[in-house]
Amino acid sequence: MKNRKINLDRPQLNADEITAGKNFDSVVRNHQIMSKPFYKQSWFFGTTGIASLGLIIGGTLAFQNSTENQVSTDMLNTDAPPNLTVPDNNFIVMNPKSKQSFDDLAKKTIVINLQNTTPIEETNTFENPIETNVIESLADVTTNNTEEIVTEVVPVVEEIADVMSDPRMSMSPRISNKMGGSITRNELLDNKGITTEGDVNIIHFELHLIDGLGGKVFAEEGNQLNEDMKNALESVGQGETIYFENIRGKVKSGAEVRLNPLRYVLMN
Amino acid sequence: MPTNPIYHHTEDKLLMELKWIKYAQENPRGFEPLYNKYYEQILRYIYQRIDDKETAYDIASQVFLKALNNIHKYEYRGVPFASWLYRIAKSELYQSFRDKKARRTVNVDTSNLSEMIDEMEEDTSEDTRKVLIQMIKKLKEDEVQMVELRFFEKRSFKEIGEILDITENNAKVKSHRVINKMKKLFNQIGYEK
Repeated sequence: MKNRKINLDRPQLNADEITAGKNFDSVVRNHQIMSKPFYKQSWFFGTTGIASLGLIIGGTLAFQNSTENQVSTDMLNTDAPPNLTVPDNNFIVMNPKSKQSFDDLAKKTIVINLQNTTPIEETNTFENPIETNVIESLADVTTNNTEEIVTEVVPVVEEIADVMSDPRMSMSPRISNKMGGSITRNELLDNKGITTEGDVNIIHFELHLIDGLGGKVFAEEGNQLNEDMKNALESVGQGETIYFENIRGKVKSGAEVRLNPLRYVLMN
Repeated sequence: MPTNPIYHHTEDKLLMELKWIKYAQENPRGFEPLYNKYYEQILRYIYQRIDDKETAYDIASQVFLKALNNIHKYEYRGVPFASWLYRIAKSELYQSFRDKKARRTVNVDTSNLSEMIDEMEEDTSEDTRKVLIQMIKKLKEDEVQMVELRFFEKRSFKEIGEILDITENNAKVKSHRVINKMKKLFNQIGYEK
């Protein structure tokens, strides 16, 4: 910067001239105009970043949950009813006349030892009648105040045992003598409805049909398919699966039993 | 050489200044005490280097505006707040020169030249003064800055170091080199004459 001017003994600024140039208000005004807008501030970037991250994570979790809910809803509508087997092989016997609470009774859960029981296949024949050790074990465990419970339970169990011990009889439900697999439309609409070989009256069942949009459930109090069920079956195509769930029946003494579900694939 | 009493601070004054800076960081209105304290110094520094008074006012306003806009970035280093303002002023001045809004001017107070001539160990004749003024034109910009700060504005090496962002010793060394260079130039010009 060689192009510089040299002044000799130029007069200095006096106090008035200095004061004339002083204007703090204009500096503040300009500062306010030039101040960064909020969207350029670092705190804004930080907050927005964290919020976006939260939304992404939240959205991902929500999507996963909705997918799981969808799956569980489909299962509720279309899949099998609650398992008929007793969970963990524990069987809780309750006497409605007893003053004991459920919790008290729950503490006296009877554990059926699998080693002491005979497989069901071996118990429903004449050669291998139901062992009484199950009932005996019930009686052994429920020692206090449970004798009356055992006496009430025994007739029902004996009756079920009678039914199951008859080789000609079975509690398995069926349609047109088929207990599952493929079935034709005529067999399905057979006017006998759901039957068993045993002395069990079917008092309730549900028909579950699956279509592209989810499942449809029809219930009937009896063993015959009602009109709605028949109409719905009209729209079921070949190769599609039909489910009969929540099949309940009554045995001779009036005790209600729940039977195995049925599943068929329509042939025509 | 006397020191600038406004620039140099005791520890207490530095802490008071720090308190003002914190006010200003919280609220722009809190900048007012600093503005009032340093406006004159900064304006004189700028006017010393340019020819036009109005431009000096504009640049001074620009310096304080820039300081206020960036006050949140200010870090206390144990030196007066003025050193930060001087650095901004220097940057704004040179920006004005580049933009051709102002012309670089060296304002020489001839009464201060004798001190410079003493340091150069020359006689204080009128001829020497004229040669000295000619020499200033031949110096580089950083050398002219050193002459201005040291001899025309009579600043201490500590203050020069803080304004130029160099150490006090470095300021001394640079000042010494400028004097040596001027001596050489003085002899050359003297022989030419």
